[in-house]
Amino acid sequence: MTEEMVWKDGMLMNPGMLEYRSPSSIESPEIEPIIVESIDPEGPFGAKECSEGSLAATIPAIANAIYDAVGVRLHESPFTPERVLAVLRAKNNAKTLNLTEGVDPTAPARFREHGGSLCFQGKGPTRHPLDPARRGTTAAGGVD
Amino acid sequence: MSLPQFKLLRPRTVTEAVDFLGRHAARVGAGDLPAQSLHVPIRIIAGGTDLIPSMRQKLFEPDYVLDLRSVAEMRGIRPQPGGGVEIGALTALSMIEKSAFLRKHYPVLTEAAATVASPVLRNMGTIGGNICLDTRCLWYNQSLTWRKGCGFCIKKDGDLCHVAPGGPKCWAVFSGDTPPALLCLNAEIEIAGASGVRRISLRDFYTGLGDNYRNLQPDELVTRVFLPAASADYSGVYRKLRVRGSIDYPLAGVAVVMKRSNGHIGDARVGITAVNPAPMLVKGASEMLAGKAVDDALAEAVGDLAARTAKPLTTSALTPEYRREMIRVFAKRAVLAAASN
Repeated sequence: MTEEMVWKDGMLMNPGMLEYRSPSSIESPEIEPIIVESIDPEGPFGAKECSEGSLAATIPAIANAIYDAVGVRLHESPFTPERVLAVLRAKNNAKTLNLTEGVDPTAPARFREHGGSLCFQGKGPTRHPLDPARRGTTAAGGVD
Repeated sequence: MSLPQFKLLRPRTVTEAVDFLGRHAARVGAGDLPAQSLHVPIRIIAGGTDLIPSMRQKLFEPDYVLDLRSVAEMRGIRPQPGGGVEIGALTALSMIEKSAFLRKHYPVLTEAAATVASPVLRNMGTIGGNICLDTRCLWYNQSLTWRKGCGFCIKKDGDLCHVAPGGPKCWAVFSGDTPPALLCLNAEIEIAGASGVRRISLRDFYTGLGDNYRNLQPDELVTRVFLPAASADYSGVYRKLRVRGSIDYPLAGVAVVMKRSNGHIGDARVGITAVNPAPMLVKGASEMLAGKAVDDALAEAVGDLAARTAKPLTTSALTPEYRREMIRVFAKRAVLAAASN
């Protein structure tokens, strides 16, 4: 819901725990642990990992809950209020929102910074002339 | 990230503190406000909740740190005999939050103080520190290594702005919670310095610039906050946008105070924070609200006005568009809430 590493021109914009917003005890829901005693044949002495496996279901569950509530599909986490609002606006404006439309992953025409966060789009300092993401740059090949 | 080396000065009285400031801050040229990017030889610490992280990030590398915590005369909430109240600048935010007097007569301040950061930070953080809070920016509140990698900005060591490229102005955003409430209450502050004591209105304290954001000489300190008797007993509400319900700085904040008689508003003020380099009162909001009964349409009009006053940029998390939108929503909700309690 909140955690996201925001990248801008190769700089991590939220390197501290203040800006990288992990939920604190106030935001966390009450968690009920259910301990299942079983033997995992893959682990040493039958040991099995905990916590991470249960996380896999959380993200689709939240995404489905948003779809159920307001009828929009969010394709990227975190599902922040601003993203939900942006997608709702896009839906109301009757525009289809396809984040990967026309994107050739080998040569992206539209460079999506830091995983497509809405922040900083088209703003900020200009790129270094040799940055391959800069439009119209001829790749400066290395000379041996 | 470790603290830089400094000498700790511990005055016991305001006079002594001013004396220290006069002795060590005098090395910066007098007259105009010195650019904040220059070396400031002395910094004041009260709660340390803002200064210590910044010093760890090498944003401040003072030779001396003036520790005000032993100055007992700057602490406490003292209702005045003629009405109004005087709050010492060293009063912890948690004391303001818990004060029954302020809760009764200045509820907006109580509410704003209660939303600052987390309980631990409120116990340490002071009202004076919240007023003097350094402006914040994603490109400024970073470690030295980070800033070196990105290029130093106007606010510290450099001459470029990552938020508004090419511009000469710093847009770092003021992120205090109590100042919009204090502005709404027409607060005044007392500033003591080597050249004497002056008392100014809080709205003259902020310059609206990101780097030199406050009207304070390096040899001065804020000693007291006065709330006038005339703004007592206003109903007030503070609403704040943040990602988490705890800890976070405001990403947008709206304070509303109003006084009603016979269901109509006699007087009202709307203040916003965290979207401009200074907290500010929304111009025209008082005139718009005065003499009217609050309904949805009026609240929405005030929200539009507040959103037009706000100039959010990419200085903080979340998109500027969303923060402006939330100013509109929060101003509307705050007006409705203040009218109903």
